[in-house]
Amino acid sequence: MVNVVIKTLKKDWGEKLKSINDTKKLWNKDKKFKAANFNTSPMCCWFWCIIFGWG
Amino acid sequence: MFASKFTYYYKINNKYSFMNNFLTGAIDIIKTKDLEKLRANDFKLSKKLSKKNKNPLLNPLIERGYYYINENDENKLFHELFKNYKKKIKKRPIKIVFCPSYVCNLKCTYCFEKDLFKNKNKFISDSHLNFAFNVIEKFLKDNKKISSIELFGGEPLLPRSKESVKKILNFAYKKNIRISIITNGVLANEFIGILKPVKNLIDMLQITIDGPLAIHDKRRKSYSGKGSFSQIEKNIDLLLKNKINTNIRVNIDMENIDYLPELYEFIDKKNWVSHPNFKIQLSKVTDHKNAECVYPIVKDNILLEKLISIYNQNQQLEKTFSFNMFKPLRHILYILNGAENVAPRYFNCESNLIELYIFCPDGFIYTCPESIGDSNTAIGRYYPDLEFFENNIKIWTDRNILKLKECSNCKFAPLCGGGCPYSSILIHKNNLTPVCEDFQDVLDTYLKFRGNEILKKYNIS
Repeated sequence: MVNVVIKTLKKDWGEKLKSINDTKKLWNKDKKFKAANFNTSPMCCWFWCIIFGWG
Repeated sequence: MFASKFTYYYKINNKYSFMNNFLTGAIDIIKTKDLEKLRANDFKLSKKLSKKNKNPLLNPLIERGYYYINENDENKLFHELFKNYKKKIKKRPIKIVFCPSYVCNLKCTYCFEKDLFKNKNKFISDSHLNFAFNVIEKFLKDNKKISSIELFGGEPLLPRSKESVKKILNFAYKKNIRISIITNGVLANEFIGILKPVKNLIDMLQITIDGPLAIHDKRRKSYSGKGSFSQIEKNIDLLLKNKINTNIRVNIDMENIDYLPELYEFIDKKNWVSHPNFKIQLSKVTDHKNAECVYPIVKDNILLEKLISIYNQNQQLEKTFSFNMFKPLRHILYILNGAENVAPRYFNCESNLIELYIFCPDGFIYTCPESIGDSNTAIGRYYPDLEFFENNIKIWTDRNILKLKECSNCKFAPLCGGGCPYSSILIHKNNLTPVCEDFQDVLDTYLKFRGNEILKKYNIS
């Protein structure tokens, strides 16, 4: 199911930048990764196309 | 203020442009006129940015990693993330792969394993298996997490491998480890009896179909010249009837891409598309031994443009097949499909992290599926005794975008990871040459034809 997220910009940002994703969720203030998919996402071209479909 | 060196821009139309930073993963839509000013440095960007600065564009640009206040800030972040990345990836599970046979019963036109059968050890023996199981037991005792056991080849589902396959599946069952099988599917019917008891552990049987019958049989035939399509079709029916997860892989090049609509019509009429145990993916035919493309392999942006023209005639095909086979697009597709973000890549693949342990009939352990049989690249031996080759392991692990000189000035480096390490070994005879894919052209082509769809999706007009 596609999860369409429309980011609401803060007032002082105006309408200049429309963000598609939230970069704050990638790492914490100590620059430690916290992305949910980090530990399982495949990297090799072989396995990406195999596993992505079962996602 | 200093611009990130990892930002990609594309003007979708006169009103809106696409921005993507490959280190922070930020994807944004910006007004084209603002982008043009930004790139012309027309916001009076000053080196000392006051905290009270209320410029409505600059603050989010800094927060999202497109600009930095100090010259060395991005470089510091890049290195700090790498340090933490290396710690985090140690927790990733490993994957065990068994190659029960170096032999195959098909002679596919584009096979990269053409010479594998020449190896004097063609089949994994009982002794080999027992030694391999002992090594895996040792991994489990050492608290290594194992995400799956995979069967690969050659062709794993051959009559002579049946006992080995049975033992491997039993082992996975006893240890409650997930199973995947990469097979041409021609003799899958002969293995139904041993697959059924473990079907709840089977993530997938991956079987290749390269198009409708006439096209598939030109590319994937036996040594006698007999086609394989009809037998594979029956076997997929049998697997799905037994509710065994089955994944079709379509290996695409310019020779068969035009037949995708016909293939889709076929699988739709078979009621495979709607079957809960069925999936289908496209994959590019690649040749890791060649730096140049030899027809029917073409540059990625040409293949992509062809695929888009096919999808434009039939939207259902885009929903079914998508664009995942193009590495430069996966992070965008992942995020458009709801993922929060995508981590940067400091490495190309699992072989750089030694996450794959591939046990082969020659007694060696490999970490790259394409390199099996090439014992110079083996990371160790499991038979007749266990030994790891530290120098060979370094060939794989020493490769990352910090070590590849040419990657230090490439904006796509955190998206790419430096390219295929085995290609570097085969083409350049060393492990430290980047193997570049056409990221710029592929991204430009995708956004040229689908950029407006992204705007529509997010109600930006």
